[in-house]
Amino acid sequence: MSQFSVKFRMFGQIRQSANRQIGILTGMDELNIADGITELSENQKRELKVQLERWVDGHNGPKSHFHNFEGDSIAPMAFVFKVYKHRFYGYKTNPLPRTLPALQLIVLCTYAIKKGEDTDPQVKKFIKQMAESLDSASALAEVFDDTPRQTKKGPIQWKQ
Amino acid sequence: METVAHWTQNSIADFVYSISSNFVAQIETKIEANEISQNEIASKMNKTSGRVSQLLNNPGNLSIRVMAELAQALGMKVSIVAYDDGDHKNARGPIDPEVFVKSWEKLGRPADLFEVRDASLEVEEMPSIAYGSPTIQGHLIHDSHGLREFGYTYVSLTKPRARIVEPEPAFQLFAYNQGTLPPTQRKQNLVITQQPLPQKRNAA
Repeated sequence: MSQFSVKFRMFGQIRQSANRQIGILTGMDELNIADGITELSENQKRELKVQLERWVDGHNGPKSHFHNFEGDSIAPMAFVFKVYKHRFYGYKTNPLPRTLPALQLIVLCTYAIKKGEDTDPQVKKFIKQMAESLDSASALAEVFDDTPRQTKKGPIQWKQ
Repeated sequence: METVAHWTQNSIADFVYSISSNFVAQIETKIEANEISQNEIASKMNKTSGRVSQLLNNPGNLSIRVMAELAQALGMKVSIVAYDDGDHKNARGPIDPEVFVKSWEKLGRPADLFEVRDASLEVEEMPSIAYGSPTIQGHLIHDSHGLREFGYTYVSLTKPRARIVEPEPAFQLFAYNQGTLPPTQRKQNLVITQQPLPQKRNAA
């Protein structure tokens, strides 16, 4: 059991892969992804799941549906999925840098309704805060074990 | 471990929404890449811009006719593909249509089954695979039926992944430049193919 209030769980009922996965942080009022999902109509819920899976399948757009914040001065690790006026924000990370370096995980954190063209800086600051938080890291570590496992055959011996 | 059902398993409406929305995403990707305005599409479809927007925002209600009209307005075509991916309980949902498109493109865009047959050897880019020094880097060839495993001295290549194997050389590495290859294979500058090594002499 985690001693921290922040919890992490994988996003249910969608396709996940060895390359890309999506999960949700919960446990604080600001971590309101679940509240955001309840705001969606049936078709909007479907649309969100389609877009999450498109990212998992390897797509990087169209930007009208999801995009990263590469080069952003506040939160370059941020990521957003868009469903009409609904915005689901998170950050991209790899919880298994030692055992699965190619893995990309999006950790959804917060939900907002679109208010302007640009993302609210407060939202981006919150995402950055969560991405760098030890509580988030601990919550992820409960799901992702990055301890290298030795196979029965032992480690690969490179031939010189 | 219990398998959690995929969301499209809940109802046929969910499944239809998923495939329709993926189709719309293909259309929107094309629109974004080519910077085509919705007005242009509307004009080609003989509809208002608002109607086009409505169609793209309600994937669940798209008819095959409208799908064809949208695709044609962008100079594209639509095929409806039924397939068996072995996932009979639908634990993973429908396969992304772009997987079929990319596979078709990698085969050289065959227009009929004869061209599929003739494109049986395909060249595919491969990430570099380190095995001691130096790094082995190149392209792999696999047959389109996925029946054969190509390998060379240190690396066995099994479509679509590569794995390290014991250094028992079953095959040697040969490189050809593209001039020696038939047209279907002239896609990369360097192509790796395989030939069996000469048999070891048996002890007398």
